[in-house]
Amino acid sequence: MRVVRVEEATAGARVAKDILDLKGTLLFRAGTELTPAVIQILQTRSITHLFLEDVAGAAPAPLPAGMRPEEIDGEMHRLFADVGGHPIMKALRDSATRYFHSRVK
Amino acid sequence: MMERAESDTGYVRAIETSSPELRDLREVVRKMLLSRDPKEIAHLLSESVLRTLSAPRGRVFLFDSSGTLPPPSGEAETALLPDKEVVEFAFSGGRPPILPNAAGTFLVVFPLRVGEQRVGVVSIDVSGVAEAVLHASFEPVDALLEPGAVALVNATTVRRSMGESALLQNILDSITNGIVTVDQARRVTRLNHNAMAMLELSPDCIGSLYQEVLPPPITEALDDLLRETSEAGFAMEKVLSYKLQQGAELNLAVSTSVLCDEEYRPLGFIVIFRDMTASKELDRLRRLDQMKSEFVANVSHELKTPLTSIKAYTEALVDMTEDEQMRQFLKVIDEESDRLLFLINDLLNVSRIQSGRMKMHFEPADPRLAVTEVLKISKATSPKHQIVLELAEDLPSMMIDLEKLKEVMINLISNAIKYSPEGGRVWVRMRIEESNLRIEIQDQGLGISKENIARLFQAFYRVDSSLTAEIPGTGLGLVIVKAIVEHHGGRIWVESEPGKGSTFILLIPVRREIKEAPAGFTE
Amino acid sequence: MGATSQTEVQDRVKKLVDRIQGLPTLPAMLNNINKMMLNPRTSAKEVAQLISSDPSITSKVLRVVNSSFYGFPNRITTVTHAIVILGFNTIKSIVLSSTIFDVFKKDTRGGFDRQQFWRHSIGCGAAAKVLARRMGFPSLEEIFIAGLLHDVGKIVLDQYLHDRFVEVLNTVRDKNCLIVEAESSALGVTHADVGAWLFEKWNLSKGLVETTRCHHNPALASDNAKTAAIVHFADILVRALRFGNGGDNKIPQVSDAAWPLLGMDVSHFDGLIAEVGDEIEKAMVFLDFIK
Repeated sequence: MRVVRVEEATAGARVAKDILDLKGTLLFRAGTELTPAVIQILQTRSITHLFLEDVAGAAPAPLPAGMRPEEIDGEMHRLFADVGGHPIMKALRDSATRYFHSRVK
Repeated sequence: MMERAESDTGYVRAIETSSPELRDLREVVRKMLLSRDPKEIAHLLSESVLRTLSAPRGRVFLFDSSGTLPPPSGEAETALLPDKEVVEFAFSGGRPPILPNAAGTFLVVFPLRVGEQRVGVVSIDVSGVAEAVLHASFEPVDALLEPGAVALVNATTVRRSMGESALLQNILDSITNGIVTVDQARRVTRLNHNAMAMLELSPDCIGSLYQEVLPPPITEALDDLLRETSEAGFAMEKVLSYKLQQGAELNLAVSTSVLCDEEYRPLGFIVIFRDMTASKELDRLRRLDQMKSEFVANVSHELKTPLTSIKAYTEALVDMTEDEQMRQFLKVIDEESDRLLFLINDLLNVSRIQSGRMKMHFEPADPRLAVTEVLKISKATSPKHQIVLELAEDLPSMMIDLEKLKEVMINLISNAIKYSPEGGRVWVRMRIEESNLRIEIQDQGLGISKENIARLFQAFYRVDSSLTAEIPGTGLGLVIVKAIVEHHGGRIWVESEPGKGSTFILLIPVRREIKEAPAGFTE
Repeated sequence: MGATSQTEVQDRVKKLVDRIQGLPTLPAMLNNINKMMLNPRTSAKEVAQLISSDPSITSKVLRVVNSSFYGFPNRITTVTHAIVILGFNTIKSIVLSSTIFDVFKKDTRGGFDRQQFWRHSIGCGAAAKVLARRMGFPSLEEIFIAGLLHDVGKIVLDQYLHDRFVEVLNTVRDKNCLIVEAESSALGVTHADVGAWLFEKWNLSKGLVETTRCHHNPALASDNAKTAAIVHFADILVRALRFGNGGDNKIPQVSDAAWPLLGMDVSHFDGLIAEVGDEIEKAMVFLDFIK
């Protein structure tokens, strides 16, 4: 679990602790998934930071903020662009791609 | 040993203005920095932050020696204890947020640190004033955080050192020489870590006579030194050699001076050991090196001069006679003089390599020239052998010392020929492999056994067997070859089996020509 | 061979950096530990006293020792205890890996993101550790350090040859190539050469020097071919996992000379990557030491 600024939270992450507003009113329970709608509400209620659940087995923020699941494949292909023809490198690329997909769930 | 932070007066001066709030802050900072009691400092700090934010409760928590917050004692502390994720976040920079802790209290957590060292946190309960705090400026709080941290560190450090003695020991240990103090009765009273390391002593020797714990050569030197020092007030440095238990030899310079109290009464002596091993070694090596290069330069000159005469006169004789047999004999003399010349050059090169002074001249060149231009040289040809070239077409121009690489190729090819006395093929291959130039010289000759492979590149090593006994050579060639390859940043090795021939493989990293921009150093 | 051979590359490196005042020096603590360890009778208590004299290093050592990086079930609260359990060499390695970040002071000139750089380095250390463990290597500590320090040459270039290094970074961005390629054509030396040179100056082990020198070109390593292969591949793994950034955005091809030494098959990749991810997580404790 870690503290992050609301702007840096990635969609799909889960809230680790109940989010209360400054008057103590419960806004969202722990476990809520952060959707764009939720993030919007937080911003209107002046919530600037929150506790995020680390994804199971926690990889250290493997996807840069803003990269969506559908962007993973393209990104990995770009990274391996020059070496993807080599069988070992291709296998590595595919393995890493699978790994990232498993993190997003 | 934690140094007292220099920030004391700096901060006081920095907050010097006429505003009443800032005068208050200045007063708090002054009090914190003057206090020696960590509890008092923590209280001053938290109270001031509470006032600034108009918050109801707060507390300063300090890290223990492993960098975590100790468990809270009591309900009041539990209510104010921040979660460790929030503590982490507080040290990551940026404005501290308002977040509830495990107990449900809305806290703002400020970091306390001095440089890299984390000291603790200030945890403030903002219940009831959260809205205001959300928009408040934290500047007055920030102004207190570093002086507060500094004051806390100083106070806890002073507490931590067990009086003057520990402070002194810390100073001693920071000095890179070995220091031993003895009292008037010649008993060891103090020693630092370097002395322990240098002289193989442990702290148990404190209280013993130095003659009992120090090795004899050092004891003798000390006896002399201390006698001189007490008579004359000082003594010149003595240098001595001493063998450590593991066999390594230390060269130590020992000096002494009298240790007195405030009223100049002698308390004993300070003995300082300075490790001179490094500088002595260097001196010796430098002298040896110089001697060797002078010798080699002289000798090779002396050897070459007569040879030049021999060749000149031999050539003259050839011109002076029509007798076929005589010409044949003279030709042999001429060739043998050439061989001697090669040998002398080899010696000169090896000696240069061994003193690290082989000069390389790198220029962009086509590496294939190192092969094609040497095929005409007699050493690299043989009627019984067929040289097969497999040189790739697409080799780039790279930074190499072409002349030296030619020497390498002559050497390896002539070895291949020499060590396959029955004749056969010698392949010379060149191609690019990953980012290296790969050169192979393969023969179908006698092969080399595993034991010999290991020592092949050593100076003067020659494979000793009945098969090779007749083959001439100095045993220097491969030393030079290896050095040249390594000076190119490359690697050479051999794959071989007795009876199956050998393949010498070289890898040389491809470096292209760089345009030297004018060197601009910045720092 | 007698004295050190002055290779052409070393000459170039010398020309580049020898005139600088204030070259980075190995943390003093390490020199002192080395001296103490020359004496076979040095006790854990004495080395602990030395380390404890610096509270900043003490707290770092204890944090690493108590973190999941080592995963001890009970808390270790004193340095003496840590040395007794882990041994001198491991503690020495921990001191080195905790303090190396302080050797290079912060740089605000911009161009090269040091935060991301150290993340990449820590990740590489973690990946190297995983590879070494799978290969049954005895001293995982030293491999971790080899991975951690492999790219230090970049920081030296950034700090002491800043303008030329920025040119290199610009080339990397414009041509989308690897840093090592741009360095080679612009400077004639690579960060691998510079790093190896620095470690030689610091009298670190020959293994570390050769591994660093050959991590992009493992075919050139002779005595330490396996270690060089490990660090070479660890670097590739960390880039594939996109943890941190070493200054470029491409992934190098695994060297044909290195691959056979790793004793691995592509079917192992899924498990390997997951293991590396876990190990990086454990190594996060070192991230706190980067400031």
